[in-house]
Amino acid sequence: MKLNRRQLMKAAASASALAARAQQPAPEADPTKAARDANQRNSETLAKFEVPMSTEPAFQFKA
Amino acid sequence: MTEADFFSPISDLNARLKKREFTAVELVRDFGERLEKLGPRYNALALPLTEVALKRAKAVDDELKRERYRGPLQGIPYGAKDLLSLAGHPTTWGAKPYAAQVIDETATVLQKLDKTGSILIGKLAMVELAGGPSYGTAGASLFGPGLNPWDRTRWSGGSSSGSGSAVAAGLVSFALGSETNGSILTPSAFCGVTGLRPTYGLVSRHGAMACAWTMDKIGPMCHSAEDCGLVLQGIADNFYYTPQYSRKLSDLKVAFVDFEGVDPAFTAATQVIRDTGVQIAQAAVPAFPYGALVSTIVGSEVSSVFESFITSGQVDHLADAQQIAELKAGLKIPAKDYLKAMRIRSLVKQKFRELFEDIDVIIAPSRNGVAPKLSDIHGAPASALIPAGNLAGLPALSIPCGFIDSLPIGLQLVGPALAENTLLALGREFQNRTDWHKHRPPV
Repeated sequence: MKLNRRQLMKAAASASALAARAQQPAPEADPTKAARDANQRNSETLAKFEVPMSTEPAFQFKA
Repeated sequence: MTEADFFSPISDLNARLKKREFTAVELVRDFGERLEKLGPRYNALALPLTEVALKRAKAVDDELKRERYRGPLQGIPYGAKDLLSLAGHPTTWGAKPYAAQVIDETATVLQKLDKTGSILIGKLAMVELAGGPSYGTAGASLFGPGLNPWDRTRWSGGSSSGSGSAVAAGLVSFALGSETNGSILTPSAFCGVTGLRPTYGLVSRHGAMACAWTMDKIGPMCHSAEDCGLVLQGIADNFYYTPQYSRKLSDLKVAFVDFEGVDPAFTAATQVIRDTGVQIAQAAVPAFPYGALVSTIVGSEVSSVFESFITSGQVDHLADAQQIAELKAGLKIPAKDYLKAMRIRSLVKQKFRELFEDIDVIIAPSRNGVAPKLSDIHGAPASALIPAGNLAGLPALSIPCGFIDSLPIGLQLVGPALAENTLLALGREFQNRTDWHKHRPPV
C-alpha cells in the first residue's frame, strides 16, 4: 500500500502519540490517590529545578 | 434576517442598524430566538435574557433615532460566559452547587459593554468552576457536555464551551470567555472561531469567578480578528484598537514553534503567514516544567479560593470526580511548592521578555488536532505555548486556519505583553487572505 505524505505524517503522529501514552503511568482508578500522586510528582519536578537564590516569586503587591 | 446575517461582522450589523435596515429590537429578537432554540442543542445556553435584552434594545433604537451613536458595538447582541455576574440573575459558574447563586453585582466587563450599547442576550454554559485545577470528562458541567456545532458527537472545548459553540453556530454576534490555561484558545480552535486572550491585567476581572487570581483573563470570542479588536476595546481599561496598524508587516519578525508531527494542514496555513512578507526568525518555547508549574499554581490558588466549599463537603456535588479529588488535594500543596513554582514563573517571564526582544510574534497550533470525541476529551494535545503564554501573562490570538476531516483547526499567535494590536493586525491580514473564519457549521 502506498501512503501519501499526509497519511505518512498522520501515521507518524499516531505512532508517537501511542509511544507517549505507553510511557505514561496507567490511569488511576482512585481519583483521590491519583491527585495526591500528581502533586507528589509535581513537587519532585519542582524540587529538581535549580533557581538562583535572588529569584523572587512572580508576585506584584499593590500598596 | 437571513442565515448569513447571523454571522455578519460586527461593523456590518452596526452599519445596517444605523441605516435602519432593521431595528435593534428586531436584531435582538431574532438572535434571542435563535439562541433559545439552538443553544440547548449544543448545551451552550446557561440563561436566556431575551426579555431583558429587548427592553435594552428599545432604548438603543431610541438613541439611534436621535442619532446618538456610541460606536461599533451599539445594538450588537452578545453572550457571556456564566462565570460573569449579572445583578439579579443566577450566576452558576457552571456548577450544580451554585445553580441558585445570585450575585448582587454586575461584572465590570458587562457594565463596560452596556456603556457601548451592546446587548447581553444570554449567559453561556461553561465547564464547572472554569475547570478548576483540571477535569477529566466533557460532562464536567451543570449544563452537560459542550457539544461542537461542527459535529455534536465531539466536544466544543472548555472551559468557555458555550461561548465557543454559540459564536460558531451564529447564536450570538460575539461572546465573552475567560482563560486561566487555555479556556479561550481551546474552544476557539475546536469550534472554528477567533478568540483573543488579552495580556494579564488588561481586562478587569471584577465580578468574574476567581479560578487562579494570578492567571485569570477575560477575552472576546468572535467571527474575526477585526471583531475581537472592537470587543477588546469595549471591555479593556486601556486599549485602543488600531485597525490601521502603524507598522509594516514586513517589519515584523515571526517564529513558528511546535509544528513537528502535526497535520500538514497546519503547516500549509503557515505559508499564508509567510506570504504576508513577515520576516521569519528561529525560536523555541523556553524549556520549563510547564505541567508541574501550572498544576501547582492553579491547584493552590483555586483550592484556596474554594477552601470553605471544599472543607464543607459541597465540593462532592460537582459532576467531575477528577476535579473533586484535585480540589481536595490542592489544599495540601505545600507553600514551598507554590513558592518554588512562582519563583520559576519569574524565570519563565524573564525568558519570554528576552525572546521578544528579537521576535514580535510566535506562532504555534492552537491545539495539535481537531475537537476530540466526547468520550476522550484529552485526545488533542496542546502546544507548550498555552501554559507558557498563560504563566507569562502574554496575549494570544487563535484564528481558524483550515479543516481536518471537516473539523476546524486553529493557529495561536502570541506576542509580548500589550501587543494585542500587533496580533490583531497579523490575524486580520491572515483573514484577508483566507476564508477559514467564514466557514459555517451545518446548523
